[in-house]
Amino acid sequence: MTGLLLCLILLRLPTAAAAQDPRLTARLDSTTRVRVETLVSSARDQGLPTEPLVQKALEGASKGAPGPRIVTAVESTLADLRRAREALGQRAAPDEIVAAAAALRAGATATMVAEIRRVGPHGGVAVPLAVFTDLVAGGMGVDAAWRSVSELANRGGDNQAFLDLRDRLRPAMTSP
Amino acid sequence: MTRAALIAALCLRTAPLAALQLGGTVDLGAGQAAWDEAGAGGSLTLGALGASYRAGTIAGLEPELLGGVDLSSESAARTAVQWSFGGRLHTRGASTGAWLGAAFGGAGIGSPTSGLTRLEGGLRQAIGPAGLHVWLSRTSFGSSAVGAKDLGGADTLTVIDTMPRPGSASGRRLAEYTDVGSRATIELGSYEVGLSFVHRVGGTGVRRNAWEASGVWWVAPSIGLVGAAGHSLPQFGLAVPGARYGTVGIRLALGARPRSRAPSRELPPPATNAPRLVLASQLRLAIAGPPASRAEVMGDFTDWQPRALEPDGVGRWTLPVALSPGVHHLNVRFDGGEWTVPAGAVAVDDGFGGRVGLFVVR
Repeated sequence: MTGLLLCLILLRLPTAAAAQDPRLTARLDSTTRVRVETLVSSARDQGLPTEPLVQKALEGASKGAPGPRIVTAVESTLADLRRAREALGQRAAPDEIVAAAAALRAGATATMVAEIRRVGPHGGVAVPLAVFTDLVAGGMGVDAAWRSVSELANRGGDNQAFLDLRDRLRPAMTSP
Repeated sequence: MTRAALIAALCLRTAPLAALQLGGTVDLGAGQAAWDEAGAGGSLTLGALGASYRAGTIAGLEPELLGGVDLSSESAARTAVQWSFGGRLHTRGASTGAWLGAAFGGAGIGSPTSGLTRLEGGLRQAIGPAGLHVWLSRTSFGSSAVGAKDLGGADTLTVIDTMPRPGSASGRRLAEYTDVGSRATIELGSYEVGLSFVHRVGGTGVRRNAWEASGVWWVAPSIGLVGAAGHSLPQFGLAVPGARYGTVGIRLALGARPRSRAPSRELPPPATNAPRLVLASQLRLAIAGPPASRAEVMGDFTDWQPRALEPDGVGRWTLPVALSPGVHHLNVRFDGGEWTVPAGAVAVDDGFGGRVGLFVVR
């Protein structure tokens, strides 16, 4: 029995170690770190991307936010990711979820995200969603940006077509 | 009478004083001019070289040093020269502001033998992509090089806009005038459009009003096609009369795209100092920022550790950094101030009582 318990502990150790991001260990107090790591583990269990949660915690640490506020911000980010995945569907890829969460924060609605999933490129909608966010960043209104993106999606545009659209509508910022 | 005019302007725009690096723009253009002075003949060539430095904030104001040289020549005459050097104090503010300035210099035929002084002030207001500038300037020529005996005992003599030609003895008269000007601009994607109006107060000149409509089409980040048309006031220091003109040309930006600039040196300088994300590639980030001695950025690409940006000499701050394609977050700050979101990124609530910027790398 003791041997079995030891084996279980040993098997459990790598998982616990994997949950401990050294960046969090170095920059958060122990209480905050544990709560953030719990949220990160929850996201991982739900198949959601975890790096945005780690980054939100690091952002809070750099901005001098108190621990409880960091936890709240990470929870909010996790909720954004969940909402993005709900709009996209369960089979959404991590980069699509991150792009959709950004589009939602930029002003898109869940209905818009679901629509782009329905008519967008079959290879993924991360690029169209990112282009939408980028057009809004360039000063275009949410409605106008969405109209441009959705019209192209309805015409069957591929990722390159969306990048071309971005270059046409937002020339002020240099592309790589 | 219509004559062809070739206009070449070299306008250097410089980095903050702490950087001591040069960048600039080059304008080349040609067009037609119908001079107000009847009977004058021969073609005219004009050129201008200007530079400015903006130092860091002092007592809440941003000092700027300005210098420039203007040249004009006719085929049968010596070259007229004008130079000036001065300073301005700008209030801070991304959308509104004011400035006061003074300059001195010289003007003459062949060499700058006649003194020049100028006092000026202006206001600016930005509304989204549009900007409005109004300004007032008082300019005097000849006070340091033309004695009272040359003027028949008069302190000043207002020169009418029927100007003496280069090489004429009467070109060394003293002149004073006050200009009140306004300029409205708007940026629409890769297009910039501007409309200027200047009214000259005092004097006996026939022509008191000048206007200009201009446009720039940025066909590439550093290449713009420029067109301008208007009616100018006399340029006393260059012995150039007023004229109706129309020009087309090309503008090469050696760095960040400048805001629209009118060909006249008497129009106000670019006004906005708000930081702007101008490049986000997989290798580099660049932000056009206000005058500062230090700039920092932090984001998910630095694990939210502040990283110092380096001035590139053309008014931008850059960071060589690996950026993966997709959505990223960032904040920037200057001289240790508040973390802000540069224009060109989507500003969203950061969850910590501030804002964070979203941007996309393709």
